[in-house]
Amino acid sequence: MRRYVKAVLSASFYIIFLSILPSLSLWLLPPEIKSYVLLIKDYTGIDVQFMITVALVVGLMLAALSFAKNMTHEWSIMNLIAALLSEAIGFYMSLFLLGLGNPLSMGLAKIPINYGGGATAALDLRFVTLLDAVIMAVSAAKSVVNFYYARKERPV
Amino acid sequence: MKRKASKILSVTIIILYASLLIVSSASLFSISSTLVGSLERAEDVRFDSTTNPLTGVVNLAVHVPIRNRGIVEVNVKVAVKLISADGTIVAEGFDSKRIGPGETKELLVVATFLRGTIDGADLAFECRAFFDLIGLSFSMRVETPTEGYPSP
Repeated sequence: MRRYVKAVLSASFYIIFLSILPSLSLWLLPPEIKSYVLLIKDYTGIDVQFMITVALVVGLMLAALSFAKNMTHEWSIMNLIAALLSEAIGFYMSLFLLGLGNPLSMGLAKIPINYGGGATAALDLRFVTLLDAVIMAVSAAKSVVNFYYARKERPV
Repeated sequence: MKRKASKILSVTIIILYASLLIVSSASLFSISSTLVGSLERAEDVRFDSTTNPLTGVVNLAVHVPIRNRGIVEVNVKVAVKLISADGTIVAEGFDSKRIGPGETKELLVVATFLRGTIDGADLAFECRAFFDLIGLSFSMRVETPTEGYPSP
């Protein structure tokens, strides 16, 4: 029962913060501000609506993986796979957000500003991306360590 | 053994997350504050020029005051490239300064060119923080910025 509650709570966290809140905030915006937000795409190429859709999908995936991880035993291979996949998807999401919708930019987001003349803005967050990759690697190592020792101590 | 290894890794993750949060928020706040502070004082940008009537050589000096309203030191760079009609760089100048929190410094960009040779300019503004590892930059092309310098 305790495990089930923990699994549901952790899955709800991802659904609320990545899937519901971003979509709801765009939906609840006053029409004038919403039209400005949607105009950002025309002036800078940043597609806010697409970013929110990706966050929604990633939120649902992370929720499912978190639920699976919490419902399985630490020594189960499913638990390890769910933990590693969560790290990978979380890292993809941070690359996506730091690249302002382009995960391949690896934290160096170039934004063309179309106002009539030729202007470009560049947001350099490569150091943040690197730190994020280190966190992902340490988290993955922790999952492997937990799995390894749980398997060793597993009651036969 | 398991608990110890797992605990060390958990503490490492928390420290890394805290560092990430502090470094990125302090840097981005300082960069955006400096940018907004500088844009608010855009009317304080001064252009000084002297022209040699015999040779037609123009010395252009641009004074750009930058104010850091953030909480960490920022490195600000301003660059100007003057371009001729065929796209070649006729003159270029840049200046960069490290500006501490609450400080105001003036960047001075100097360029020398022949009168009537300029058709446009590339302007660049770059602001970096935290050992220059996090940054924001803007670059734009301005056509015919030297209307005051007609051909001889």
